[in-house]
Amino acid sequence: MTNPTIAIISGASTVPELYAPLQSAFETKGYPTVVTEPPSITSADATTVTLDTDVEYVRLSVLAPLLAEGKDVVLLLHSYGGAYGAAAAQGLSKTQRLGNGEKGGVVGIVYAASFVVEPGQNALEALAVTDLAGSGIVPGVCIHIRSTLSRMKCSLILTSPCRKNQEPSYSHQPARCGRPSRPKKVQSALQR
Amino acid sequence: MKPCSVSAIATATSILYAPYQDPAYEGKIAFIGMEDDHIITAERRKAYLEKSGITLVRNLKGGHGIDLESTEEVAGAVVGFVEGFGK
Repeated sequence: MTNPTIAIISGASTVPELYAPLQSAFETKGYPTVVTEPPSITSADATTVTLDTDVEYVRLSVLAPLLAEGKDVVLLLHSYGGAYGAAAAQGLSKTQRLGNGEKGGVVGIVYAASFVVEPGQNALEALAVTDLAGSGIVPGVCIHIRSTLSRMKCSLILTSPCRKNQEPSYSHQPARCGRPSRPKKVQSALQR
Repeated sequence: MKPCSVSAIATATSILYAPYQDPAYEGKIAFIGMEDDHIITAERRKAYLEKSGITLVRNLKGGHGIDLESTEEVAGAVVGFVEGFGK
């Protein structure tokens, strides 16, 4: 019996390369893995990205190819991944797919150091964050811009809680915001 | 300069859905809490579990960054849950 594929639904502040140790740990145990690289990280224009964009990416670019091969999948949701990954699971459980005469499906979901978002809630609300940086009052979030590897990437790093009224740390370095890529569109039975 | 993820984390999905409310995933959802997680704090974890009703829970030592730390422990916990999901 083949082990399910672990689909690591990444957090807002990470890039796939950073999940290599975790992937290695799973693959040593005989579990194949994939890691998401959602538009919220890769899009050149951050203002066009919403949570729905990331949900669509998971369904079409991550899950659809696996399910098309009849594979079983476990979603491992990390941090912000609990928001877009959880919503992507709708209608894709193995139980439902078997009932529709389809093979494979999502056989389980693990929230790990992850937001557990309620329907209609955004990720910041799930953290009880009521104000973003800019007002000078950030209850629980500092936003940093960091460079990763040899490329400049824009990402949110949710760090330890800031003191109230602490100015957030911005690095105003000219940089491209991610790579100008779009989520891959995969022809899939999910596109109805 | 714009952080890539701000609009994504600050907007809710239009999909009014949570798997923990879905009978199709009953018994198939688990939660791993990291004891030194300063983002998903102990209070937040408690609130999540109360709200969601998730009962398959493991608490591990380590911080928020499971991509880089406590990877063996996290992988082991996930595999344990997966084996249980299959039963």
